[in-house]
Amino acid sequence: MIWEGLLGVAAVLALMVMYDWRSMSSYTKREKTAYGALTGLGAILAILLVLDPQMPGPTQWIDVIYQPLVNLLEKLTVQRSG
Amino acid sequence: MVLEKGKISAPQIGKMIYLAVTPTAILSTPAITYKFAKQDLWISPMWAFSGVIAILIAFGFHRWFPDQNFVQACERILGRILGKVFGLFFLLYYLYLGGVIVREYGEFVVGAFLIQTPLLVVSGSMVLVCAIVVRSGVEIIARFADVFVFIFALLFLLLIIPLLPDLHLLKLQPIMGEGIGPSLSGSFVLQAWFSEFLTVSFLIPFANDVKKVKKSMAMTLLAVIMTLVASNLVTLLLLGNITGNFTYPFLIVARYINLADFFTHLESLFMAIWVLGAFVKICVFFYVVTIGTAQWMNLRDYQPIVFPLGFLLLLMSIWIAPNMQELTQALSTSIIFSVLTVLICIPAALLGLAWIRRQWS
Repeated sequence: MIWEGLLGVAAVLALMVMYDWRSMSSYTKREKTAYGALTGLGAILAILLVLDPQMPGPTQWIDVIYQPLVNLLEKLTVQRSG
Repeated sequence: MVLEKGKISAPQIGKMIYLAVTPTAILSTPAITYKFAKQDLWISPMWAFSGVIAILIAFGFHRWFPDQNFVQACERILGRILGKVFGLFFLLYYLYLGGVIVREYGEFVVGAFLIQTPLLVVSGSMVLVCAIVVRSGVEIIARFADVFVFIFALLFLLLIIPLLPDLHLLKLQPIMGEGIGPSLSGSFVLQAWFSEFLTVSFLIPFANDVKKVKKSMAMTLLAVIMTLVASNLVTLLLLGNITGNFTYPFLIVARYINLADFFTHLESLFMAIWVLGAFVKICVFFYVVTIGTAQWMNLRDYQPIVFPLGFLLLLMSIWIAPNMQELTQALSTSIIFSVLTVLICIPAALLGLAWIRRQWS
């Protein structure tokens, strides 16, 4: 499963770069750097997600930050329905 | 440095924002709102405070920093380095919201219709289509909004009209039986959707007639409220007490339609509404992320980074939650708080800071 996932990520990225390759010559150096950086970031995140699909994501971070407010809200909800 | 050469009209901005707010609001809010508001479900959308505030903030930024969106204005207010940090934070948050929308879209399509299809295929194809549109520029998104808003409204009416004979007005009672409290707390979840009106800040710089945008935003807010009132009212009058038991009450409403045993399975119409709406919604959020990132990196052109960002958007949609239950849970609690903080509180604070700095100098 992991190998298939990694191959899939590689295939998608390869297709993407191949598609953009034609216009690559017209990009400035800065644009090429930005393209490379974002693609690299995507590749890293994709590989991490393939290796560990349960990796804690941004929603969990938001959950942690707003836990006190959420608890307060739930207390109010329980009061209303019960 | 002009990144986007396209110009769009004020009504087009209104339609884009309408489609960037309504579709997911019709889909996922009624069940959550019902938990708080009960039979006052249909009153909740009228408490659209955060929509008004978000529009005022967007225009406040526009007045002091014309031709700039609020991520750029951030840099002017906070100085270069701190401004860049805040800008990155807003962009990541928009990417996150985009991911949430893509995931909601995918989960709904897979859950209700294409049961055998992998989620990744459904959301991946949507992101690909949106990437092509975003690459073509803001004018193209605006024209899609132009066309789709009418189809959206038409299909919406086609869903509601056949139901009219089956609605039981008595289910409304008691109207405001416990005062305005329940409907007000029910509108809490909607405030997150209304705060997405802040997105207009990214579109104002492309308007060819800025003066008209204010009026068209007021009309858009009104249209969104009316749509939500209508959909919530129909849901409530048809389903009554059991509204809260479904994840997507409006889908159940659409499935109920049966005209002379001939017009059945009209949920496919709802599916069409959902795909059209979600398409424009994802395009708008994707575009905001793209143009913002291009400005943030001082690029001359935003087209090169569309596909890498699309890939990130797709990954984000997978990364945000391990399963639908956790996403729904978060959508009704912590994500609401975070949207209100990031799209209302922080921009309002920044605007206040800008005001103080202006008074100072």
